[in-house]
Amino acid sequence: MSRRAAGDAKRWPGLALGAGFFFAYVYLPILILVALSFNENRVVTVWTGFTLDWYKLAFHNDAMLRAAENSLIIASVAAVSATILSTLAAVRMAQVRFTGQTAVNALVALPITVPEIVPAVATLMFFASLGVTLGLGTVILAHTVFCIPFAYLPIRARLEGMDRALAEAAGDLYASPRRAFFKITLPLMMPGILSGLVLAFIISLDDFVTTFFVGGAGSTTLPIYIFGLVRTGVTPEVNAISALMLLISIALVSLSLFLGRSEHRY
Amino acid sequence: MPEPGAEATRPSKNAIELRNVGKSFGAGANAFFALKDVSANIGENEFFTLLGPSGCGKTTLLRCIAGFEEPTRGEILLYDQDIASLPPYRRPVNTVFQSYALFPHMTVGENVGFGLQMLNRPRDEIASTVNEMLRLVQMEELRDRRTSEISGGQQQRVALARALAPKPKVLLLDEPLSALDLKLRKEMQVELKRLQTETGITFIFVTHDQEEALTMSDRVAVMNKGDILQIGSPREIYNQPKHRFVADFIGDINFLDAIVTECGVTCQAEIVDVGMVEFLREGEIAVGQHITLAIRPERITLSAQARHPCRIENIVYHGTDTIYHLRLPNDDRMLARSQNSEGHAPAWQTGDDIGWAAAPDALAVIADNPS
Amino acid sequence: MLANIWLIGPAVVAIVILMVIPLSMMAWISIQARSYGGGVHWGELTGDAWLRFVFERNLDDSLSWSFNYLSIILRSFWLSALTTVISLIVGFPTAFFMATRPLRWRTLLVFMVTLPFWTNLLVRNYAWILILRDHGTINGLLMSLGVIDRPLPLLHNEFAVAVGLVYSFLPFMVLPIYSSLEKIDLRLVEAAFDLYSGRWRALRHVILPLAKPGIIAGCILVFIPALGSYVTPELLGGGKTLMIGNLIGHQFGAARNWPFGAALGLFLLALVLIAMTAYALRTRRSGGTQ
Repeated sequence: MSRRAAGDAKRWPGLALGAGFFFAYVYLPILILVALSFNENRVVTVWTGFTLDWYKLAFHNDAMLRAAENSLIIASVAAVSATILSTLAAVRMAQVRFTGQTAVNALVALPITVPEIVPAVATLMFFASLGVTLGLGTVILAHTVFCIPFAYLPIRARLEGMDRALAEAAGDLYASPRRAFFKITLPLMMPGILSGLVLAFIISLDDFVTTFFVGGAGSTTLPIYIFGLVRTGVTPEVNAISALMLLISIALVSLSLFLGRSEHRY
Repeated sequence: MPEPGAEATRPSKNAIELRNVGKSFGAGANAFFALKDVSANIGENEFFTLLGPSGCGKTTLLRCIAGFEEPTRGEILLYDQDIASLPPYRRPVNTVFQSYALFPHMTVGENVGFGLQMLNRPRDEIASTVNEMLRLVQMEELRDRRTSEISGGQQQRVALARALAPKPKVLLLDEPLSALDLKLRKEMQVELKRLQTETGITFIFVTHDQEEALTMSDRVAVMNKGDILQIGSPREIYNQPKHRFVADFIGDINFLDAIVTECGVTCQAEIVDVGMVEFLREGEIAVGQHITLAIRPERITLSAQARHPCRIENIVYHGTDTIYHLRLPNDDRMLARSQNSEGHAPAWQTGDDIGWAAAPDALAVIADNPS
Repeated sequence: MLANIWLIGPAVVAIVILMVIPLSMMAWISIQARSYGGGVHWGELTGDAWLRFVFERNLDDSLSWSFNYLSIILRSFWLSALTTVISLIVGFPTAFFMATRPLRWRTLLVFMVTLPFWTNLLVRNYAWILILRDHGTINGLLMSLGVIDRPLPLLHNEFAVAVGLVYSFLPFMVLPIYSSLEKIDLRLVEAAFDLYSGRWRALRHVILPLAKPGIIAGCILVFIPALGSYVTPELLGGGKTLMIGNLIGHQFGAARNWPFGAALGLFLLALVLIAMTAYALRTRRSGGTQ
């Protein structure tokens, strides 16, 4: 080792090895899954050639398509509702100061603090004791609640990064509070709102535990459908559907990040 | 409070009148008085500066005039109309913000036109005013740029144009030059003064930079701890400070404690172990009274023959002038400044015993309120 | 002032009705008598659900010790602790590696660490079934190389669950450690080198103390969700390696014992809240650095 490297605080033995192991550990299973989804052989783990057959099969599977449709309906409604609630809350939280504000912040974070199984069964008992029939509606309600923190945090972050003087400047230039909000605050918040919307959408789309307990007849989502298939056995078709789910999530989260990053465009 | 700067040249009409304005944050024992009891008249067409250290209340006062803060007591009159309770968007007053606060999602032109748009002016009037304002600040060719794509100095000009576009009755400027580098700041000082003269709008300018205040203003109000201590022309503030704080905040100054021995048209006072000095009468002064006299270093004349003895402890060369650190017989220190000329080496050296003198009008009487 | 606050209301009301009230209701349900068809007999109060943690009710209504459930709870703690330790061992060098990269690399690396979190947990755990099962990637590879001639039992045991848990929650360890390491001025480390401290002593006396808040936060963020995990043991444990989460879930499925499920849920919730409160108090006392 050269003298310079010996005193270099950025070089430590084993760091690259550890990080290499980490990224391999995290990404190899995903790559293996995606690769196997293109495997021609029905015996899932023996590679015999490339095919798109399993994707074709998946797209002609009515049960899968119905589950996908449910997933989209639930994720859209829950994400939009959560984003609206979060936007209203975040705007006011940034504008006013009141005692109990930290309590509100803790409350909003509650759904991500507690292991999901607990609120999932609690919500199940809640609906059951009210006599509510489990289904699409109950799933949407439950999803809306646990999507709130994911929508709220990027919106809040965006607002906090915003110069307070901007809203004041609008007022100073004869904009009433209402016009100042729609002309200045809202457009500037938009990247945060969109980013929150996308994150909430992903979280709802990917959810398994809450849907599993709070759902009922007619609310089978993609994760529930996949879970059912996985329990009965591994098939190449499951690989294809799973790979698609991963791809959608990765595309959406990249989009959300891009939206959150954009400084002045929206 | 009677206005000490009343004798300075001022137009007759008041654009802004502040009457006993106070502003406190919080309540009870924790209450913080950002403004205690501020009264001032700001004349039409005046370049009026609020000068003071950070936390002195100058920005709070400006925000009260703009309407972002509501004073807890007192009146703010704009052309004789009380505006203290009006929201900012109903006041014909515009602000240039310290951070500029340009709208990042709009172009330069849209920013400048925003105020007129909110006033629902016709489209063609907005367009022509925007062009006129951008011409005024020499930014015409950047009209369609985004505000994130232009330099700090250019943003500063856009902020000015935006605040001037609705033709406000009063323009408020909150330390607008503090983010600029020295060279740009000097340029903008000249530019601001030109704009004020050209537009004829009353400017209220907030700064903590004494040099900026002295070079640009018609009148300066020096603030500290929520009060205005002195209002006057830059010349008055500099040469006749009434308060120790004002004297000390603006440039170097020497304080001399003395006892009045005689008071007629001019007065005499004795500085113990130093000698008698003569100064101009200012307000009520009685024989036997203990007073503090203030004198600027450049108003002290040094010569071998001058009547008050002193010893040179240090000589510091500053390019345009030389600073002498002097020790008086009563052990006080004193600074004297003399302009350098013709490249001569100074006539004296460290350790020399020489003398100093001061003209009567160089000594200002400090209304002593040590704080 | 109140008029201004009402907009915060809808979000708060939604969380209170659909989260706080159901969670509180669990306490009440946990002391009701079970209904064997699922649900509870309201108003019929009993401590049975709580006794079930360590007792079994015999046919003649007497109680005898039973450690079936306790062993599941202990296993949950053991597996979560193991997950936390492994995550720390893998996560710390990774975070340190990231913190010492140039700025533009760091942004990409953080994105790469965060990305798996946003992908489907179920699918990611399913990927491990493909890898670990008898004819999976690992066994297939080892057998074709002739290293073994019978598949190793990799799936449906504690090993598989631990692998899956680490895989699921590892990013939560890396990110907080990274964010505290990132703030460290590397000149401090160079100063330590300059004062003739060796690498390991510099690590112990300079870097570790500064990274401590991140390490603590990371351990909590891994331990808590691991303790309450449901999907990983369900898929990779194969019904034999249950954890608290599955035990809770099963009370609402085949076991039909809601009061016991509620009691278990409350127990888990209490653990989480205690850990979070302790952490919040600690960070507040030490000046609020995360």
